[in-house]
Amino acid sequence: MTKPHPALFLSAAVLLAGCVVSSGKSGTGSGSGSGNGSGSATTFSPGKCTGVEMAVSSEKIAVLTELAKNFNDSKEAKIGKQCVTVHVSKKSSGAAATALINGWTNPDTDGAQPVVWSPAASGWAGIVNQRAGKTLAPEGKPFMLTPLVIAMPAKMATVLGYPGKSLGFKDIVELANDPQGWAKYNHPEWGPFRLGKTNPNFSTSGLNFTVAQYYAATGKTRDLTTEDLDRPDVVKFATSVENSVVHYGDITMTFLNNWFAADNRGSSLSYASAVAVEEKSVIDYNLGNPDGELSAGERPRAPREPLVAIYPSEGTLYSDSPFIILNAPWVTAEQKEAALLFQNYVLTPENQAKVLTYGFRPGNPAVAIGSPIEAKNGVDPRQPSAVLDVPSPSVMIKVLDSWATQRKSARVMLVMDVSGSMGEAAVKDQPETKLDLAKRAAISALSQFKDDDEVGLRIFSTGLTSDPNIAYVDLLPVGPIGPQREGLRNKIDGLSPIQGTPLYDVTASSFASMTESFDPKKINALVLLTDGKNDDGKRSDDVQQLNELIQNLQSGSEGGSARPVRLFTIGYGKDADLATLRQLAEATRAAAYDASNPATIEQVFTAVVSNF
Amino acid sequence: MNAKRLLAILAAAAMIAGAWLVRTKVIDKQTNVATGASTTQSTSAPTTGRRVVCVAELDEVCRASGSIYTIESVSTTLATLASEPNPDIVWITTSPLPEMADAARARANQPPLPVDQRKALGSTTVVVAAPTERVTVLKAACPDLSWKCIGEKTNRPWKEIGGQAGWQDVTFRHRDPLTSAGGLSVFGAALAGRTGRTDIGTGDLAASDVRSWTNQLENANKQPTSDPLTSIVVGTRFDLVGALVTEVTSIGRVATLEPTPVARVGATIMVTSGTLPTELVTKLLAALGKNGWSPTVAPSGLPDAVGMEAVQQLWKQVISS
Repeated sequence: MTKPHPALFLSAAVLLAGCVVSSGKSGTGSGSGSGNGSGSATTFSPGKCTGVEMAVSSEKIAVLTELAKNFNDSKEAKIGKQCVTVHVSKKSSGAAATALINGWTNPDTDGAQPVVWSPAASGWAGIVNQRAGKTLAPEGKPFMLTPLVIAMPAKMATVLGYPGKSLGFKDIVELANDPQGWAKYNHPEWGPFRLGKTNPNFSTSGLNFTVAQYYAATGKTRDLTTEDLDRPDVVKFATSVENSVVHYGDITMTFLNNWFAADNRGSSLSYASAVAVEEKSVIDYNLGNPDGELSAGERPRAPREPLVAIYPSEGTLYSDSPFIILNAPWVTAEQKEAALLFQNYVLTPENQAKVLTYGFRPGNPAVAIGSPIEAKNGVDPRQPSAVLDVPSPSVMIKVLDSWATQRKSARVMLVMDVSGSMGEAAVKDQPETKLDLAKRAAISALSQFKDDDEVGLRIFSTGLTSDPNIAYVDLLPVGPIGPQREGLRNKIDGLSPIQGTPLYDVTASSFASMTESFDPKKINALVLLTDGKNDDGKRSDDVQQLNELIQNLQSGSEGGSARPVRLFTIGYGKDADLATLRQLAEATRAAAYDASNPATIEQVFTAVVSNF
Repeated sequence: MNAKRLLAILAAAAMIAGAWLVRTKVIDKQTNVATGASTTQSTSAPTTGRRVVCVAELDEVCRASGSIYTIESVSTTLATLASEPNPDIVWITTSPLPEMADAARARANQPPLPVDQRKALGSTTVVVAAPTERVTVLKAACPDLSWKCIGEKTNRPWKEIGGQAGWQDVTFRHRDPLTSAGGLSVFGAALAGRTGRTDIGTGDLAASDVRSWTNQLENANKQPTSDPLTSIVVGTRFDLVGALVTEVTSIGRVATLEPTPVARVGATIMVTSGTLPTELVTKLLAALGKNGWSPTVAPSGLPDAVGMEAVQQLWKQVISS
């Protein structure tokens, strides 16, 4: 087995810090069904024991929750007559890094202040320390590993020569550049090559993939330089990869859940051809649990089209799950001592065997790799054959800067609810309305768009004009944001609440508009924010309207020749119809975001825009 | 007083009497279910100091057992069982609620409950109840009595399927599957019937054809009302009502049909610690027999615990849309 470089990611931190901060926020939305990084709202009471709150990245919440439970009941959770209680909460790496940098001042939106932090990779600790100007996150002990892979439906990989042929980025670029797409391999029904990839500013998988693709472009496995990244052939290579992206996003689970849902409908091959994920996610997917976490009513059932992990022939990087006992002001010496007990517990061979059952490679080399990391689950324990060095901080900064200009452009229509209820106070007894907060969040998120992204603004409500049939007004048509960024900002700032919520009407018409003007070279998307339920004054036809709308969205989003417009929805405030918004988003293989706590809207908006 | 007026008065009196009957048999239970409030019944000493909790559908059975007990909403009991590390409860309930409690506890990282201290007590069937003349029409429109067919007839005019124009649209009601054992059984049976499987999960119920069918079936349930069985007697605003047959048999003017595949709901007793109270079990078995529950036929045709959780998730989506 190949182990990751001990310094994996540490240097990446420096450059990422700038990027995360420039975006201002990290993701906190809830991708359809999976949740993606908001802190747990659960109140943790350790009783008479010493409490150890632990914030972990989403992919390992299940295994650490189990280990914490076992630990709390064990004799290892004792220091003399004192006891220790560990509580684990899910928090995406980027979101936790930002919260730490900002002093973790708002438990309502960030979750409880952690004693221990385990991001996906050690590099995030460097980000925090660099940005905070002090060592809040000292070097942590990696306790489990999983390499970045390119997940592909076995059927597609086989067409490309898997498993006999070693595949990598070069194959992706070749296929992405071929105007025939999958037709070249006698599968026109699969459409063009479509890549799922997360935003490297938010996601470890996205960051690792971006670094690896630049390495692949240069043919190197170490010593990547800033000059390398400026080479025309490297730029062309990276742009080709990015142009095949379906959309970005803050967590891989959104892709995996959507892929699995598409598989249920028999259309997984036309949703995505490949997704950059961690090896563990391929195992989870093939076992019928795409996000690695079984929620109420979810029954693991193998997909129709299983995935296989492609370990890029050019090399890959590891996520190493460090166990970081924080040097934060709220962490006491007693808690540090207690946390160390849990760290030791996690690293025992028997518990390292436990992490293996969840699909992670043990961090303790004394424990051999075994099931479920095996061929029948689409992965290969003998891989990866090449591990890439983490570039220097300056190169990492350049990687992200380059990505920001080379990433696939977007065409996005912001569809904002300006119904009367948006004029209600966002927080009881506070002067700011829900619309005030939403406007501020939207304006803030505009900075994430690059100049050649096309963005438009549509508002909806009943009573917008004297014509009762008009449910929406385009304040700014979809067009390049560069020249109209200021105008868009002013339009948003000038919004005020009006009357009802014709949710279904505006969704249908906006989807139709964007489909009609679809640009295959861009990510085509709608961002729909609403604080209520459909209310167009005709309740009697709501069911029929919703059924028809979902069918339209689905049929427009599926098939090799589809013109997929992704609908990202934001349920804003406690009265938002999140269940329906989730159905609408899932129908287009996008994601629904939960901003039921209005205070989180800025973070949620940022997470939504990370899809572009 | 002419004959017409006399008939009208008699009809009104019959409706009032029917409504009263339903109220005594159903609504009083529902009030407790909706609020989660406790109703304590007592004719003998409590069982070893534990709390005995009954679902509303087994109120009369629990009363007949002579125990001190509390009627509690299903959601309240499940929440208690999921959140308390060491609850001390005897739960007289329906299947598969004990297994749903197990799943909820596992997700909440609570220690498992003893699975060997549970006993199946009897079973009854899920039925659709309706005014007699409408059952006749529905049986003709859906000769196979399948849930799929019944669902497809709802939310449409009765006239289209051979009924009278004055009956207006076919509406279907049942109690809340989140708080009521009967409501959960009915909705679960309907979805097991529609999908043709009892091992359903959220993925199965996300299929657009299932979602559309469910939205059509449940359209009437989106409007708040009093107990749906009452509606049959006092108004017929909701003319098809899903219920347990044991709840319906004593209500006049109402006929029932068993949708296919037939779903049998089990009555069961579980304890969260210690051993089953044998004396109470004996009394419950006797009471169930007197209340129309079959002591011998095993439950069948309903989703398992995971499936019922999926059903509840779907319900949340249905009522919010």
